[in-house]
Amino acid sequence: MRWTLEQFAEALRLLGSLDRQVLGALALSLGVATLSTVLATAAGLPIGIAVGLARFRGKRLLTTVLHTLLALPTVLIGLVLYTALSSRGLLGSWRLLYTPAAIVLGQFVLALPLVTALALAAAEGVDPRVRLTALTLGAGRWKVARTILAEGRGAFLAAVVAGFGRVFGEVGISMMLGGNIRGYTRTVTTAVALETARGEVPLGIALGLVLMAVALAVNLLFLHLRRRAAP
Amino acid sequence: MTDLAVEVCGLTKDYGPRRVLDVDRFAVEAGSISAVVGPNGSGKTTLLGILALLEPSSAGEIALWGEPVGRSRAADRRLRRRAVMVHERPWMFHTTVLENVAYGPVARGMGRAEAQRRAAEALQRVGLAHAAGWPAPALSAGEARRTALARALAVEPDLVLLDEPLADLDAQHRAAVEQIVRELPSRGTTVLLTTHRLETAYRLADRCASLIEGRLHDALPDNHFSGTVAEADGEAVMDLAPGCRLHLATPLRGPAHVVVDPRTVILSRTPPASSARNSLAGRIAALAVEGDRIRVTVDVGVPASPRGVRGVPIVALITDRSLREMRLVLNEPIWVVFKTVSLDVYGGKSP
Repeated sequence: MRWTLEQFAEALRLLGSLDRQVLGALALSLGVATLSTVLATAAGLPIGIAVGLARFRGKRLLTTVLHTLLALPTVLIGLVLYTALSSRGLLGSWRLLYTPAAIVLGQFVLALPLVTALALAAAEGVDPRVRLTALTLGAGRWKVARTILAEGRGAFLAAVVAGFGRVFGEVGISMMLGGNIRGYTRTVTTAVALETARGEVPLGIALGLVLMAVALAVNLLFLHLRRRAAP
Repeated sequence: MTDLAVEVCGLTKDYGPRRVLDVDRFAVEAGSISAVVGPNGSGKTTLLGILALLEPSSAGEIALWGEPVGRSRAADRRLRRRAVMVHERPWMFHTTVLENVAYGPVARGMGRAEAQRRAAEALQRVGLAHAAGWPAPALSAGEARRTALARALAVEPDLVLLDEPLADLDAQHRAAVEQIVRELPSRGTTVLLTTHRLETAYRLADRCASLIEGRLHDALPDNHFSGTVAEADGEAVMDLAPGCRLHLATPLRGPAHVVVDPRTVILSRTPPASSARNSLAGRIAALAVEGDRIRVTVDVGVPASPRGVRGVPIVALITDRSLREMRLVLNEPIWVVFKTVSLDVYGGKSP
């Protein structure tokens, strides 16, 4: 107990002296998480809405598969993409391994099922009269989809927030695909893993606190957006 | 030959094993106001939804303005855009009232400024010009209904399908909405509305049909009786009032609706000695001219009652000539006679 408290006290002391490298890792964490969330949103929201509104055989099976993918471990995604991206792999010629782009790709795969599943649930949760009203007033397919997005914006925004939360805190993908290269692919979470492995527990805790503080800030921003979005 | 805005043949709608709509034939003349009268849950909303091309039917043919529905997606979209349905509980988009009403014109490709001008005009017509800037979801039920009507008017549709347009409205706004509905045909809009109130249908519509348990009855919605089919002496009967019993030819027992076509009701001064199983004594409560027919309302079940006491009204349609020959007068004792096979029985459960 005493030891734990000491580590935290030391971590708090270190917070004041966090250096440029930490800021760089933080910027990278934010950057890749944002980009992968944007990509997952761009793909997952339309798919989720389309599937949510459609009626077809096998929809329940598809939803179940999607929900299973939510449990996909980050190390497994990392491993699969690692074999694809390594120089002898299927996509080896892309030369993406150990670059920030590889992390973005992995995090995109991680966030996509989550954003899609939540968007699907959100689309199903939108009152059926929204679609009927838009249709009868003459809206085409795109206008109907946009109206559903607008009427259920709170729930759709929640899907995006969840996607961001999932990728921002992950470590397995960043480690395996980024390689934890200092100043290039080192994110906050891989830095925490590294410092802890090296026995620099207070520094690891300090980095973790920074990560949570940024996550809090991002979520406050989303909360503000959601309040403005009302429904 | 008049143009038909809506023509339906053999239309059915099933939800799983349940058939909620079964319409043999139904037509709406272009430029008319038609009403479908029926109790809640009779399938009125489903019928309108199908005619607005918002939901598919299970079987049957629909033609709008003579053009068959279902030929191609593009053609259906074009037809759908000529009609607007106003739901009983309309959805208000989470925008302002004005933007709600401008939605249709914008969706049809009109510029924003022009659409808002039209929306403002439509809001003026329903008496909600002052509410243009309000958030629409905060409207009361009655205001939402009038906004929804304005939203439909703003697209200037050829056909407007109104689901219970007068529910939730106070007397003043009901009169205003009725006036708007009445004016629609002169603007080239055909109106098909549903209501559970007979008087609404009579006040507004050129033509009425009744819908009971999903079946359309193409007679005037007179002589609807709801009650319980019971068994007496091995025969199906329904008691409308004490001493006022209908004999039915049906295997159904339990809750049911009975419809008697007023054209098949015979009036007689003497107790009839005929094969007709249903003969009820009553008094003439009303006489009215209806086109080339005379509408005779007979209160049955209280034959010996003094004036002013109402029995069960049964309507008979007779010709002008019959009226003159019989010299019918108000409050005169009379027998109404109809054959058991001319009764339509719906609903209930098989024994």
